[in-house]
Amino acid sequence: MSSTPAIVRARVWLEQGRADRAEPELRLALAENPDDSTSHALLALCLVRLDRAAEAVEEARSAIHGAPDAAMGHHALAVALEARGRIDDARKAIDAATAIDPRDADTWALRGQIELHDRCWQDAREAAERGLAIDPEHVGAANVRARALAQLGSVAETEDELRRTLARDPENATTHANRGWWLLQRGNVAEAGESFGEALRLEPGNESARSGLVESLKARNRLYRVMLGFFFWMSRLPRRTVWMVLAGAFLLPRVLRRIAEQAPALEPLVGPLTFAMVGFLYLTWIIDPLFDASLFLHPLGRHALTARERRRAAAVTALVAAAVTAAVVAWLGGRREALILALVFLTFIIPLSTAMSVEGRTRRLVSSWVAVGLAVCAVIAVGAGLVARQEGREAWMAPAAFCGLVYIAGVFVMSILSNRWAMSPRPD
Amino acid sequence: MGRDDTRIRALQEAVERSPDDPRLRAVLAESLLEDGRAADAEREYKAALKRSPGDDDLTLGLVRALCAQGRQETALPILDAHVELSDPSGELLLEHARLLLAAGRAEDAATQYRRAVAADAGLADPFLARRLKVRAPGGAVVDGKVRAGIEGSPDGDGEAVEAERPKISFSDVGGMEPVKEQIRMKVIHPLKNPDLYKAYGKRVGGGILLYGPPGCGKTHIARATAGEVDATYLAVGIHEVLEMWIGQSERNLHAIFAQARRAKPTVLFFDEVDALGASRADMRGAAGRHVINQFLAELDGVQSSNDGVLVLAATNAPWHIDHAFRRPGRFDRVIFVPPPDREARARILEILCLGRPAGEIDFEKLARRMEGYSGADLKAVVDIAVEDKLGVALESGRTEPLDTRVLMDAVKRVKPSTAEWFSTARNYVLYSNEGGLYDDVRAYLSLDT
Repeated sequence: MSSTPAIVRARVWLEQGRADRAEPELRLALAENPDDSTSHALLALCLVRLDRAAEAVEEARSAIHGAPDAAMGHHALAVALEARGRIDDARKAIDAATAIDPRDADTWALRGQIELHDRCWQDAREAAERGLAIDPEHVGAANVRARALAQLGSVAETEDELRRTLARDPENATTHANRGWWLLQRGNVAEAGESFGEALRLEPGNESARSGLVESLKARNRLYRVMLGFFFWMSRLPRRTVWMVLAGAFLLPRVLRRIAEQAPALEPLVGPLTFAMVGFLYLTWIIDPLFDASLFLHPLGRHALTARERRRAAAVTALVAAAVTAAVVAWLGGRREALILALVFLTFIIPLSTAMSVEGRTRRLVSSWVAVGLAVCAVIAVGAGLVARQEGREAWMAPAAFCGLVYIAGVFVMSILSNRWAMSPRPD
Repeated sequence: MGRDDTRIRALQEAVERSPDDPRLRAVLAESLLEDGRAADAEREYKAALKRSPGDDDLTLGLVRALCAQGRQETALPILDAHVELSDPSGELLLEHARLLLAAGRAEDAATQYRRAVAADAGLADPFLARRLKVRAPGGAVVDGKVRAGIEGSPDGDGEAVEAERPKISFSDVGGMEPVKEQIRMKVIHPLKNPDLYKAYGKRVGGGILLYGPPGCGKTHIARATAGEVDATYLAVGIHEVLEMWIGQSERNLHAIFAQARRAKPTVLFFDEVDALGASRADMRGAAGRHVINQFLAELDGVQSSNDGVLVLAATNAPWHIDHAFRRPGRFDRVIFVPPPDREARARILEILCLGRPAGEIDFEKLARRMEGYSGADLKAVVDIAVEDKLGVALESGRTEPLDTRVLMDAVKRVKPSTAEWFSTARNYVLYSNEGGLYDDVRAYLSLDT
């Protein structure tokens, strides 16, 4: 392995997690020796931490080109590909790394991380255990194992793993954050908040701990706790099962109607059950931003929210308020069009919330334009609909209906897309 | 007619219209020199120097014009005199080193080379360094920077780092009054009134850690502190200390402190101290821990007294520094250096516009628009405005003075660079403000939790 003063300095910065400072040192090392595979591999790891995964892939490939039989380049490539969301390719790269150096616990921990990303809990557990067999004190592998066990529902083993990992390294922010999520999953909100607080004290930039803290603050509310339990349950399911659950939710009203046709005694239950299910599904869309908005008044919560979360919470709350106002007008004034407006406001939350929360530049751009397009459709549909109600202007009904249909279809597609993106949070 | 001819013709016309503008002449001379018309360039540089005597850039241009004509023997005395009289730029020193070497004055050339690279690491020229026998560890060129000779090493006959006596003082630092006051109390008064402090049983010594967003004047105020007490100033960065050989980094640190003790009174300034004093909890390797232990031992003056050595350090990342550094006697005063306030911004802008053609400029109005801008950002704004005006001057052929409007346009194109730092600092204030360490940042951000 090559070593120059620049690489030594880069390693010092990397040890401290200072990728921004390590990058120029590695560029300097590469200026001196452009073919140095160690520098290329380290630079790839730096770039991933700097959220420049596309460049990182190129650097990792240069590292492999320079030294194809060194595990470091393949490891760096796997890290970069995982960051790009290319899980299958990342798995191939990490396979190459483990084939070259099967005694590296770091590589097995990364393998476990990749499997976690792909919701393959058992594979993640096995990879982490192989890493721990090599280095029983490897905190990264232990954390992967704890997370896999938690998702597999092994309560005692998860608690045991987290306790042992914290005993070995009580100042590890990632472990504290993982413990926080585990406690939150178990419904122990107060202790979860303490764990997230400790993780943030140790590493204030730890995103997992920050979002965990926000969730633990919101979970003080019983309704939110119930919904969080549902989200945790969904997060444990394999991807295919999640889709089956969603499809089931869409088909359930029809199934209920069929049952009611066969057994008319159940007929009175169909309406309320369908309404409850649609309400529950709708709640999964709005509960997160609505409770984010409730943190605006919390002394720590309002600072813990990111700027994007604050914006989304404010926008969704405004739409809900507008919908309620329109509904009240419809109810008091008997104006049916106000009810349609309320429905538009409520349904528009889906594309808007997606555009304001989705990860990845391309996805954000696409969803933003779709949201703008749907807003235009909604305005035309409502406006043309109002005009069409006037005598002699019935011709306006056609564009109103067309735009209305486009709007409904758009909202439906966005809800599917949003779920799809949520299940692969790191974009290509 | 070529593009260069057109440009030169336009510049000549501009100079005819504004014969007293040395900058315009400098641009013309540079174009002439690029066009191979060294004698004409020499004439223009000389004319410009008459109007702006002692200017580094013009002198350098003249020297280059003379060298282009093969008249090194004329150029050398000009540079000899210039470096004697002024505080020359790195580029000028490098040119001087080259001419001295050509004249057979190798020792003088090596000295000037070291000064040049100390002033600007980017000027390092490995080829010239080899010819001057400026080699490791007696001033080796490592990573584009002179790494100085190490005391006690077999072939090290130089000093650990380049020393200087800064000519600037606090009056040259715009704003930052609270920071200056704290440094006065901690550093300057004790040094000037040692008996008084002794009478009150107040221990003299300990260091100051300056932290804050980049580009806000931490390094500048450290130099000004040395100027204020007329002390030797030693600036130390990661490049001067960290080495790949085991134990060498610790030896480098020891040599730097030894040099500071010899040259007292000394302001020993560690830039980016987080690189050398990072939290040991963050480190996997033992080598980094050894460097930290050595650093702590030197700060404590375990082997030799640090009397007369004032240790200042700067960092953009105070949260990465090992807690042990904050104990009494070490960096026991931690000072937040915020971006300049409105008054300071106006003053800095005023200073930056000095010596440039300027019309009516409403510095107060500009300063109001530049909340959160660092000193470096302010300089970027003025540079952009100057470039804009220079472009107009080249087209019109007459000097175009800077005004509020062009500066305001430039403001729109420069975003404040401190935002990223504050977004990180905010997390430390919210979640890791043990002992109120970041209370100053909390107050600056008006965070109420």
